[in-house]
Amino acid sequence: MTAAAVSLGIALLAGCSGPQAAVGDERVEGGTIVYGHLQEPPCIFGGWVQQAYLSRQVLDSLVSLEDDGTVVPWLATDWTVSEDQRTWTFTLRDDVSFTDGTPLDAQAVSDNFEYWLDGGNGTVQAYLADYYESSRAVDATTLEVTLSAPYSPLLSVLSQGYFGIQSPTALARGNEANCEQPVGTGPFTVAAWKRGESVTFERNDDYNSAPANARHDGPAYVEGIEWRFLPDSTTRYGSLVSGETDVIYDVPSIEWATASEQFEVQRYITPGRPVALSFNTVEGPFVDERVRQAFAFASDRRAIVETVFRGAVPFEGNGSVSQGTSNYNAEVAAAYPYDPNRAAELLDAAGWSETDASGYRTKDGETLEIVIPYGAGSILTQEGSAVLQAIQQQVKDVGFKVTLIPVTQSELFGGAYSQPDERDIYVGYWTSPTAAILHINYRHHLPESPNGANSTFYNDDELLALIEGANGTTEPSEQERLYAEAQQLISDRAVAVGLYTQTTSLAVGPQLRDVWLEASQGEPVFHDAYFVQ
Amino acid sequence: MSLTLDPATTRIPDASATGYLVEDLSVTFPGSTAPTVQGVSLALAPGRCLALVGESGSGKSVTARTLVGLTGAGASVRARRLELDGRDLSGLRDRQWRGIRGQRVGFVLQDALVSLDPLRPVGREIEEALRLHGWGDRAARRRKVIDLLSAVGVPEPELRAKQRPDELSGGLRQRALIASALALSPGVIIADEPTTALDVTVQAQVLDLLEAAKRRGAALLLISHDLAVVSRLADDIAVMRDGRIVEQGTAREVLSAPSHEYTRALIDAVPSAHTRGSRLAPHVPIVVHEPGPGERRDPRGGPVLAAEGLVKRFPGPGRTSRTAVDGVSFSLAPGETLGIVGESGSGKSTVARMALALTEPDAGRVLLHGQPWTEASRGIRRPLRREITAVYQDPLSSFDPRWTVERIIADSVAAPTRERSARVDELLDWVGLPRGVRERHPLTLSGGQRQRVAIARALAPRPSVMVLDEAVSALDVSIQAQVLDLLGALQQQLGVSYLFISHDLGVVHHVSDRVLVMKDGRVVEHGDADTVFTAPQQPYTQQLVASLPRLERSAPSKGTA
Amino acid sequence: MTGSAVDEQPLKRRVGNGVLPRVLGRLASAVLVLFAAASATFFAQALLPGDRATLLLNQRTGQTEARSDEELAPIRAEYGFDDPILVQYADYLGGLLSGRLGVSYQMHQPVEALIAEQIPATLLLTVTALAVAWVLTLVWTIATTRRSSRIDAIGSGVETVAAGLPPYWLGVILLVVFALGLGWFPVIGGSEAARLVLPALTLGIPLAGFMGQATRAAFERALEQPFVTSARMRGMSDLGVRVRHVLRHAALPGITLSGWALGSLISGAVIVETIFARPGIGRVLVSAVNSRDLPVVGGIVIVVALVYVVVNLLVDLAYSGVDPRLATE
Repeated sequence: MTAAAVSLGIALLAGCSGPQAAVGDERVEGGTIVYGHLQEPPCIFGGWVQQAYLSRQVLDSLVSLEDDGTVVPWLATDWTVSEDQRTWTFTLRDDVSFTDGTPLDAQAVSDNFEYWLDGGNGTVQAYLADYYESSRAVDATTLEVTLSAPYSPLLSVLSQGYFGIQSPTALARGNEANCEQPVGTGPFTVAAWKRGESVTFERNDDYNSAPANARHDGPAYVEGIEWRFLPDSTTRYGSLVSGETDVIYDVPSIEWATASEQFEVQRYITPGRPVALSFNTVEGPFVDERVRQAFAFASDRRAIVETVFRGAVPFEGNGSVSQGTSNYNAEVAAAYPYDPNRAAELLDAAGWSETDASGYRTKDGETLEIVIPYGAGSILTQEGSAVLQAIQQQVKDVGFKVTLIPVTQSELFGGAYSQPDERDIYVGYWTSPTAAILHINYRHHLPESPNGANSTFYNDDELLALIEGANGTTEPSEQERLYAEAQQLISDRAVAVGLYTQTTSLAVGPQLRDVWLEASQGEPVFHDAYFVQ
Repeated sequence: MSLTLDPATTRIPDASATGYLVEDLSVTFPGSTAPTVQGVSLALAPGRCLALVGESGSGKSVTARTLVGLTGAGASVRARRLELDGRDLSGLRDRQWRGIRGQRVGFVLQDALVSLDPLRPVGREIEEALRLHGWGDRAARRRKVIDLLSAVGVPEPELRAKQRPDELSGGLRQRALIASALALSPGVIIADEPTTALDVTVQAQVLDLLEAAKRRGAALLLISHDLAVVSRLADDIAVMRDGRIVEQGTAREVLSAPSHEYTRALIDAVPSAHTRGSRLAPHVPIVVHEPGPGERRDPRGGPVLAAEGLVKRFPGPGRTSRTAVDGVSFSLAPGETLGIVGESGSGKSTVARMALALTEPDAGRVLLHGQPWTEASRGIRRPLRREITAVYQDPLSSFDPRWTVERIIADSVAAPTRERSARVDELLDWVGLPRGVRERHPLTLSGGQRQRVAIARALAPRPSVMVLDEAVSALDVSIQAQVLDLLGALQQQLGVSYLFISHDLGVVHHVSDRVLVMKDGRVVEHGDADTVFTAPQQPYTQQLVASLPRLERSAPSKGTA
Repeated sequence: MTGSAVDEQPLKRRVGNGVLPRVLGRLASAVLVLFAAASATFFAQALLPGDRATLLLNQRTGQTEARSDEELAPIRAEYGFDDPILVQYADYLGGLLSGRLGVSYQMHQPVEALIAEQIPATLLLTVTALAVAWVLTLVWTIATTRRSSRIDAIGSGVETVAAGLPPYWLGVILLVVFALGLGWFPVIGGSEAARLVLPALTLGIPLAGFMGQATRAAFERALEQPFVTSARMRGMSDLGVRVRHVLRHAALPGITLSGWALGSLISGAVIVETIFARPGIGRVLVSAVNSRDLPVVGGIVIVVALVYVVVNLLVDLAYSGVDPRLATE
């Protein structure tokens, strides 16, 4: 909403001490958490991160991820991998049942794998389609997963909410029922979903399968969660201030400073690929590496991001992997500082040495024109759009003519501007717990095996070798080295340069304790949360 | 008249009711330097009727409204004395005025169709007067409303009380309006043009009602421009002009021996049997033009317009149909005026429309100069349209308000463009308008001037017949007189025939050679004007003539009173 | 002279109740309207640029990639996107005629259930907003018409300003001042009535400004009519005249506008629903349009068109209620 209105809001709120009474430390049994979330997805389970937030409350995954990247047991207590890296054997707990009574066993998990890769979850397919071959239940508690090629990030990948295990009985109900009320083994069940308003979760009193990094075992302390959808940031933040919600998602940057003083603010930097500029390497002016590098030098991306986000969101210079992801290469982040002179030199060297009347570079009569379509309001927030506009202004001084095209959600998701002749830079992010994201984004895009996620259309064998090597090795230091080299290569050749990390933030009111964000995707976990007074 | 007011609904006012006493009243409106009313003094006594006579702009309505404190926003009212029943009215607050209005003074406006709330049943309007002054409870008020309606002579009062003004006839409406004014038996009744736009018979009944109220002891202030109406009812008359009273006295004095020339002119201007053949406004000069070649109509020859057995039916609600015109025939000789007189709903306007071939008759036909007129096709009629033109009651609605006078008149002139301007000038001369009027818009002209423009437009194509449908009904008496004189002069000079339609018998008697009396679509009586009006054969015509209020003249030798 | 019998023909007869044929006629044209709305929706959704199957798949994963034909084939088969456009249109119409609004592509729910769940909140908000607008208009018009020239000017000026207030701005201001600042109303949640106040005001105030301008003009005209003078001459106070007589005459333009307003309020409710976190079909419609979820969009458009038709019929009937003269034509 308009910044002016929100500033007015701050001014008024500053004058009020807030309607919340002073809170002590005495623990209270039960209660219902009222949580204000931003976006409402069409279904609770699915391949979109918004769906993972919801499904995390009702589904357990096989493993969980610690903040430092270590994988810890969850539904799977133990695992081994074969010599050739292609067969993984998981040992499952034997005392867990789905909330509809179906027992959790290896066959159920195998059914889930088949379901996902059969179209049930497009993101799972993006990760595993190239690697998964089959799975089978050896016995009730032993599951064998066979891959077509070694894939060492498998465990980290399995910790995400997309890989939550659903009851096979429930899956048989069909899409409509599973969309609304997926059934799992998790700490809560979906009691009701009033679309446009809220999802009501009820405690699963028989819960006994908390992950190893949970704060306690057994059922949740609170009786339920009322997961409200409050898309307007003023309303959402205001509801926390007025005490109508206990915890909210996505603190508006403008409130960041105040919120940090009044509430418990947790910030989670989403691992994976940051919001970055991915250059089109097969068509247009960015085919020439020098032009790409010139663009990277031509704007002070760090200063712009820090100004626009007022410290709420950190700058990320690495264009392929974000800070907070395991195997992140931090050196790469400093690769392209603001240096307009260097940019100018590079452009001259690349042949764009003449300037037209408006100050744009030209070469053989053609203007140096860059087209950047972006998902206004969908992929990028308002602040993100502001960052792009600031970049557009700055690079103009060096001679780049940038055309920004805000694209509507339906057009963008309908595949507009997805072809190489339609855009020069792709702006987007991808969440992933490990640097395995590199494989998704840089696997070759070929006519016989297209890779729509390769937004730079960069088919480089050297890069692919590095990535596949890293994916295939189990030796952590080797993996780290290879991933680091891959990121370095991407940076040296300026295939992509970073802007800022995709960040989620949570603000918790003083009456609620022990809400934490899980490490793989930043979903809020309420299983350990309790009220105090 | 058998109508009397039920004694139960009126009472003889008590002795303290002395009526109004006004001395040297003057009213000035904001934005004008000159006072609208100046130096007016009058006295309204119980049981007597004072008539305030004047034309539009004379200040009579303003005076009447000032008597009830409704002069208008921001007006400044000053008087040496302004008393009602001995109570000083100057400086009264609105609350106190409200106690007076409706209770001590009853006000009757003209045209009940707009003076009663069109969306409410008339019973509610009458009841409102009772309710506002806290009279009885709801049931008692309902009964009182029925009583009042029957007292003013409304048949089936229970049914009528639930009907809206547009569902009642003109006469019933006006009676309901009077009932609402008389509801609390006020000591003073002020009636502002109570009979305008009413049929003659109905007018007579309304005047009877007012007279009965007066006889019961109310003081009656009657405001009217119609001297005949005034003469019937008034005991005293005050003549107003430009905000001042120019003459005042008993009715007999003022009407039979007026001292002021304005009064005299007003009296002379009333058309009737006595004024036939003479000018109504002899003091206003009419330029006599010599008709140009071809201007004059040929006085010989057969009838210019003839109607044979005209019938016209209109579909009514459901499957019924209403016969508006049922077998009407007439003929109009060159240079003659045929008057058609009747009350509302008699079908006279429909006859006019058929004469102009604007409406197809369901049976019968009209002949123009002996040739088929209504039976002819449109193509044949169009060039002949210049032979018969029309002038209506409200010229404003038949002019395009954005057009100048010049364009309005030139539109009817069938001549090449360069000659049109000259012809427009000529026509303006004919109707006695100064040439400077050409550039003006009709909205800026007075009623009389507009009507002259309408006549000029009708004359432009050199017609043989002019249909005048209530052409002077909306004009002030003196202006009406001038326009009638003009029409007479034009007929003399040009030999044009007139089909003159009006509900005003006096006017018709004044202008017509022959007369048609219509009722419910049929011709009830026809013949020579004098004969029909002075010795009517048919009972309806007799009734009409008897209802007409007569103005007593200063020359008693002419005609009967 | 007998007096009574001569001229007592009423000028207009009371017509027998012509309501039923009018209603039936309206319903017949309503069917045509719905058909047109459904067809327009279908073609708009089907013919927009961009591939629908890609859109569906991308939305499910939150990605914006170009998709291969293999990936898209199952979706295309499931929803019939490969059929020629006229075949799809015929299928769609056939479904509508047999009473099926279809199943949402995204939410896998039958559209009827979705709409039935969401529409009561929107209708409640819309009707309340309209009622609020009426109250504001009437009070303001009665209070400020034809007083002093200064009051007239202020009254008219306020109406103009109110009419121009954008709902998203007004909503946030009301929220910040009255809910967050003063705490008079809940920001979210709370009892039903309290939750409605601010959203209804957000929609109602601009509408009141708009309706006020039309009502004011009619009010002024009616104040000049002779029947008002008659009422005053019976001793009625100024306020009484305004409320008891003039008000009814001035209501007609407002009633005309209400018919239009109700329909436009439904579609404008999406902004208010977003700010105040209310459920309703506005938001559902917007997200369905964004994801080109044709069954949902089509269903909502048809329902809204139906509401328009019903409301206009009610407005028509209201006319004759307010001004019975119109009934006798």
